[in-house]
Amino acid sequence: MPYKITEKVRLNPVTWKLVLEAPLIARQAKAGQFVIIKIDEKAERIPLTINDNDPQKNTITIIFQEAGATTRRLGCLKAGDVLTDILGPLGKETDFGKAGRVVLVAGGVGIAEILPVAKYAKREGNYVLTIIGSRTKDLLILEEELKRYSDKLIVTTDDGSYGVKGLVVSPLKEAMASEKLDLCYCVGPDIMMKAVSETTKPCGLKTLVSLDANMVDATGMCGTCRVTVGGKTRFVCVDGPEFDGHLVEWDLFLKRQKRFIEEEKRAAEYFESHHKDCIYKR
Amino acid sequence: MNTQDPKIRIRNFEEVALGLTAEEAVKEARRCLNCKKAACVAGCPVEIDIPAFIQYVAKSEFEKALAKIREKNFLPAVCGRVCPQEDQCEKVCVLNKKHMPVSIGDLERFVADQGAGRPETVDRRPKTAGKNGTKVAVIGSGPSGITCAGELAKMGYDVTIFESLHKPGGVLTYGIPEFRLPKKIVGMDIDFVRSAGVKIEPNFLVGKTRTIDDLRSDGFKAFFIGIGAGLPYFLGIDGEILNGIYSANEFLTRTNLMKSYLFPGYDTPIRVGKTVGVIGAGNVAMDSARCALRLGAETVYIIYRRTEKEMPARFDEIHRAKEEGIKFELLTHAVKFTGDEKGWIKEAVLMRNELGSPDVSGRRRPVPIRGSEFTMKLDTVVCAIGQGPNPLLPRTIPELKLNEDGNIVVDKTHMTSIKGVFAGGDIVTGAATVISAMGAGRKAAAAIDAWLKVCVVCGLIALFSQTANAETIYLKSGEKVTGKIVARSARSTMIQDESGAYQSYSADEIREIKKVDVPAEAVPQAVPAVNTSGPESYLLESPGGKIKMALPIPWEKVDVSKEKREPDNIGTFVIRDKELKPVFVLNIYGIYNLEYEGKNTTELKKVFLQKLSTALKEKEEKDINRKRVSEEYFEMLGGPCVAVGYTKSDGKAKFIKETYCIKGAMLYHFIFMAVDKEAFDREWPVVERSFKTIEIQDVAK
Repeated sequence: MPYKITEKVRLNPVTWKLVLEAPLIARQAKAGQFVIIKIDEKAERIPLTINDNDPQKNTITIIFQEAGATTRRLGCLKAGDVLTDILGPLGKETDFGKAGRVVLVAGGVGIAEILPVAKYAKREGNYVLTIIGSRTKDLLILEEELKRYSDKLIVTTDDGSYGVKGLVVSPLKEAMASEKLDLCYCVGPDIMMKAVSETTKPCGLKTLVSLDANMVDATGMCGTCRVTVGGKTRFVCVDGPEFDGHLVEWDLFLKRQKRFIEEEKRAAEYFESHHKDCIYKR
Repeated sequence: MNTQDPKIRIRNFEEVALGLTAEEAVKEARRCLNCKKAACVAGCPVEIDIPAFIQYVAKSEFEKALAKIREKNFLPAVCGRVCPQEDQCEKVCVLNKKHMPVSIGDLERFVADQGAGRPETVDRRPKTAGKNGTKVAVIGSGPSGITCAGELAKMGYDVTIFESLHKPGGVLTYGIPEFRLPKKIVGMDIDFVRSAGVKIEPNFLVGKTRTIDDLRSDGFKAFFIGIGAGLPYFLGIDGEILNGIYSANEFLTRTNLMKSYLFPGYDTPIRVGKTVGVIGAGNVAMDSARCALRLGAETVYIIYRRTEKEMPARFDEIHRAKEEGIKFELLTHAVKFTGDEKGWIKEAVLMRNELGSPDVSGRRRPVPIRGSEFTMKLDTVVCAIGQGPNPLLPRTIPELKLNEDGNIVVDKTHMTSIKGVFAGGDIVTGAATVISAMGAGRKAAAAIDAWLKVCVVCGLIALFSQTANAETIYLKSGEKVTGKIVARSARSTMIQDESGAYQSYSADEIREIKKVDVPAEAVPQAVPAVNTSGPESYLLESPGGKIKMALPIPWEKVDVSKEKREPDNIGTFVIRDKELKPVFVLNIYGIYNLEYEGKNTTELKKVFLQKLSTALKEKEEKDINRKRVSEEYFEMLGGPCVAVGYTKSDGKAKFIKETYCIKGAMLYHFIFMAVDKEAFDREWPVVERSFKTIEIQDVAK
C-alpha cells in the first residue's frame, strides 16, 4: 500500500514538513515515537520522528532536514507523490508524566522533534521551559508553535542574528542556577545532546535524550543502532529512542554515528550526478 | 548438480547451484524405486508424497509433479534449495544404504522452477474449500507463517499475513542470500500463496501498528505467531560496539533485503574491509562469509570454537565456502576486539581451544588452552553465533507464557497460553530450519481449524456390553480381516484390525467369522483417564462426570465413509465451548442449553427426564424402550444420558469423525461434531437462556 504525501511545506531552506497518509499509524502514534520511511524500491529505510498525527484525517506529519542523499531525495518529492513504505509507530513513547518543572532543549531539526514532547509535557500539567537553538535566524523553525506549549521560550542563535547569541547550554546553565528544575529533555545534534547531558550531570538534573541512529529494520532485529547505556548494550529502535543522557557513553556513540561517513559521501556524489533534475526542479 | 565456477561466482550474487536440466531430472527420477512404504515421506516434515511426484517427473509430467508437491508444500522452489535433505528425506532413502540416495531436493527444485515465470492459471491455483468468512491473522511472513496462511486459505479461511518489513518472506528474503536462494524464486512461491487468497500486509508491526487485541476487535478469530528468531546474539565481549562489527542479521539484511551490494545505486550502505572474520559456523555464518567475499573482501575467516565435525552448517554450504576460498580457523574463539582512535575494529584477540567432555547438546565442549592467545588483524567482523526470540511482540501481550529463553510456550496443538493464539517456527523452537518451521505452520493450521470448529467436543453414542474377541472375518468378496471384534449386532460387525484401524462390515458382506490368535499389540488398550484437551486428544466426559477420559484419536485410521452400521439410538452429546465448559446437551429430541455450572445432577436429571417424557408422548411406542435404557445409563453414568438420533450433517452441525475405544469390557462409540458456534446460535435460537432451557429443534429431521 503506497503512502501519499498530502501536503509539503518548506520550513526553511533545508527543512521540509510532509503530511503523509498513514491511517493506522495516525491512530496509534504517541509523543516520542518514530516511523521508518522508505521512499521507493532502491531507497534505504530511515527513521524519522512523528511530529504530529491526526487520526481524523488519517495523517502523520514528519519534519526533516536535507542532509544525506535520502533526505535530499525525500526533499525532491511533491504533494501527491507516494512513498512505498512507512512502518510505525516505533520506539517507546514518552512517558515522564507530571515531572514538575521541565526544561526542553532542542537544536536544529531537533526543534521539530521537541514539539510533540512539549505538547505532551503541557498536557501532563508540567511547567515547560523551552530552549531552542539554531545556527542563524533563517534556519529557526516552529518558534510560534512551541510558544503555545511553553510557559517560557528562549531562542539562541550561534551568530546572534536572533535571540540570545551562543549555544543552548548557556541559557540552560542560567535556568539551572536561577530556578528549580525537575527534568531536562533534549533532542538535537549528537554533540549538543552530549553537551547538555554533561551540563546537567553535575547537579543531578535528570536528563532524557532522544537518540537518532542509523537503522535497518528498526524492530530490534539487526542491532546496528546499538548504543552503550550504563555499561549495557541497548538498541535505539526498541529500547529507545529516549535514554538517560547521563548514562549514554557518548564518545562511543559519536564514533559509531560516523561509521558510514564515507558511504554517505559517495551517496551524496551519486545523488548529485543522478538526481540533478530534481535539485533544480523545486 | 552443476555449479557456477568458484572463481567467477565469488564476484557475483547470482545463484551458485545451477539446477538440473529436464534430461538430468528425468534420469534421476527413474532411479526412484517407488517404495510401497516410502521412508522419504516419513522423513519429510511436511510429508510431501515424494514417490508420487518423482514418478511424474520420470514420465516428464512436470506440471503434475508440481501440483503433487504443492498439495503439501507451499514453498517448493525454496525447499528444493535450502532444505537439509541429507538429514531428512534423502537420509532415509532406501538407495542411501548401498548407493547414492535419489536427489530429492534437486528434483523438487527442478519441478518448482518449471513453474517459474508463468502466471498462476486457474487450474494451477491451490484447490480451496469454499470461503467460510472466518478471519485469521498470521503474524510474520517467514516459512512458518506462509505455510500456515496457505493451509488455512485452502480450508476456506480469510487469512491476512502481517509483516513488519516492506517485503514478505522473512528469513527467506532478508537472511538467505541471493546466490543461494534468488529472491525471484521466493517471490514466485509467495505469489502462489497469494493465489490461494492470502492477503499480505507489509509494513505492519503487530504490537505497534495494531495490537493483537486491536486485531481481535477487527474481527480476527484466531492468530498464528510466526515471528522467527529475530534477535541477534552478540558475544558479550569487549569491543563489540566498535564500527565494522555487525550482527549476521544486520550484515545479511543490508546485503539481501536492502541490496547493499548495489550501493550507491541502492541507497543502503554496507562497509566490508579487506579482512573479514565471521564468528560461528552455522548456515548463517557460511552465508555471511560468502556474502563478504562477494562484497569485495580479500580474505574471509570462519572462526569457530569447535572442529569441522561439530559445525552446524550443511555439508554443501561448508563445501562451497571452501571452494570459494573461505579460510577456517577452528578450535578458536574471540576474547576481545580492539579498535583504532576513530572507533573502528583493528584486531581481534583470539584463543585456541581443545575439546573436552560433551555438553548438553551432545557435542564436545570447547575448553580454552591457557596462554594460547593470539591476535588477528580484522577490518570487519560478523557475529553469526545464533539468534534468539525478539521480545517486541511478546512484550505487548503480558499474559503470553514464555520459557526462560524467551521462546513462546505452546501445547501439542501449537496453542499458546492464550486461547486462540497459536505459534510455531523459530519463535517456539529457537533458531532451526526453514522446513521445520513450515512443518510447524502446517500443524498449527490444522489445529487452528479444529479449534475454530470445535464447539461441540464430543458425543458418547453407545456402549456395548460385549467383551471383544480376536477373530477373523471372512468376507464374501474373498478378503479376510483379522483383529479384535469390538462390536457385533444383527446387522453388522466391527473389527479393529492389526494396524489398529476400525472396520465395519454389514451382515450380508460377511461369509463367516472364526476365532484366531492375534498378537497382543493388536488388542486395543484401555484409554488412560487423564484430563487433556485439544484436537489430538479429546476430553470425553459423561454429563455427570463419572466417566472422564482423554482419548487420543488416530484420525488417519478412522474412516467414517466405510462405516456401514446404522447409528445407535442411545447416548447423548455434551457440547462444550472453547474453554471446554459444557454449554449444550444434544439428543434426538433437541438441543438443551444448560447453565451447567453449580447445578447438581439431580436437578439436571429432573429436567432431562421431564423433557424426555414430554417428547416421548409424541413419539412412537418403541421410543419407550429408549427411555428405559436412558434411565439406566443415567444411573450408570451418574448424569443425564438420553437417546440420540442420527446426527449426520444437516447444515447446522457438521459431522466430522467418529471413533471407538474400549474401557474395561465396554466399547464406547464416539461421534465428533464440529459446529460453528455463531451459526449454532443463529440457526438454533435459544428461547430461554437458563438452566431449565428449552427444546429448540428436532435433530432427527
